[in-house]
Amino acid sequence: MDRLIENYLNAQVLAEAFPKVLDGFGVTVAVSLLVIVVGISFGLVLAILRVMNVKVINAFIVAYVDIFRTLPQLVVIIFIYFALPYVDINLSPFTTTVLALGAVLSAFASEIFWSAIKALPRGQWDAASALGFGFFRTLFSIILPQAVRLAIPLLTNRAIAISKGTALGTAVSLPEALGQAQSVTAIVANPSPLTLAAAFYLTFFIPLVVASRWIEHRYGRGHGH
Amino acid sequence: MFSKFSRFGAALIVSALVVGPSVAQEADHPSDKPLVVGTDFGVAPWMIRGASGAEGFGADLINEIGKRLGRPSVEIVDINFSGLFPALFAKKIEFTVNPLNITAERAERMLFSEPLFATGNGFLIKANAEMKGFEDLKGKAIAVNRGTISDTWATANAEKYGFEVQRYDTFPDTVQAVITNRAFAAINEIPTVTYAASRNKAIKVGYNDFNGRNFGYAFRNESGEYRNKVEAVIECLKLDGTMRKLHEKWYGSAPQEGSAIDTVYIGYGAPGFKGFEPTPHVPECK
Repeated sequence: MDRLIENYLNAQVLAEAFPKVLDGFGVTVAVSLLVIVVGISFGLVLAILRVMNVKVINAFIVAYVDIFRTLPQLVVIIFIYFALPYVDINLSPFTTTVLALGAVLSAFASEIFWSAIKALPRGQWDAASALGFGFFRTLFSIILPQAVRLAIPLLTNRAIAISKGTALGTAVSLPEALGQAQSVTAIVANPSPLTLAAAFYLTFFIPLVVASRWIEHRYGRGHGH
Repeated sequence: MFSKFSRFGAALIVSALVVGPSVAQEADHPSDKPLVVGTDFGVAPWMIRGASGAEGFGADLINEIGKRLGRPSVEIVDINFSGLFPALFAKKIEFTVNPLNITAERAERMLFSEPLFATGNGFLIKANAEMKGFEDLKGKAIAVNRGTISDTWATANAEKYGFEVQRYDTFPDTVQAVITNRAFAAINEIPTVTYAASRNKAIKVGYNDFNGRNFGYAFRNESGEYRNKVEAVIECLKLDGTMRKLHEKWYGSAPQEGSAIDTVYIGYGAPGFKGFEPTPHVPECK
């Protein structure tokens, strides 16, 4: 027990590491939130494009979705960071991580939105069209509001799971919480900074998990208009 | 003088009274089981993954040490540098065998063997670039392996010389950062960068800063007795020329005269650092 405290809760080391890990935490929060925004909005755009049912576009979307659902997140990050410079695309560690994780999340999100849209009875489209609603009006004022509601529980889980991948950004020198903690750990030869990083992740992701539960509860089920 | 002597005396009495440690050390370092040690792979020519498992200067050295300790075999575990100390403290490995710098900060929390190998900061740059000194780093980005001594040096000197630090998980990633123009230089141990430059035409060693640093093995603080046992073997390898031969085999040249690789240090541990036991002893070499 003493060894655990000495190695993982060492007050002196924790104090020393705090400012650095806190800086890293700022990066973690920024990247995670951007990943969620980029991933979900682009996923929605893809799902809407798919509804339009243009064969060529659909083929591209399906390929995109399958590729990013299959590749491990770390592979996507490393590829963007280390391979793209050979074709003169140099993205910062920050942009790389947001784009890579955002792409992965958008693939899952588009699939979730798409299946939610498909789950709605076909008759709604026909009814709307009988009432003189155009394609876009039907989509945006009838179909999507219901589909988004159906999609929310799956979406929040996936968004949290993927935004946690921010820690993978350390592989391309993103100075986020875990990376900063590992740096200090090696320099002072004591892993306590990792505890600090864990505490920071909890302070960020617990509210996120709670918020997602609230959103699921609030919007997930129908409220019977 | 008196206080030094009485501390030494007290240590003797304590070690005579406590029978526990040697039992505990047999538990953590069982003589009939494979010797389990940890290092990060990819630091050529110290430790690389070859066709038949671990290869390199560090691999040959620890295999020879394992043999002379009488352990049935040696298991070299691949652990990223940033996970190495947690693994050591959690007893996943018996000690570290990567090219690890002996530093005062680390010596506060672990026991070092005597110095094995001299090193310093080597600066790897693109083949068509020039570096004459630290002033050339102004306004540039420098890639380091996270948590290594190069990271410490870069962090401490970033402001002074006006460069930005990028931290990566492995040495090859820092080299990639230089090749892809993300960083001007990659800093690592002199032996490591020298070897990397000899294998890759896109890069060269721009600058060497030998600063009296040395590599050593790191043990948990309670493994003092076993540290001494391993160190006695290392001393024999220095005396009988095995270390020299390994240097010639892997680095392609004789080691620097009078450097750590063929110096047997008095006592156990790294002189001048915490955990050093100044007890003189004569290594019993077979």
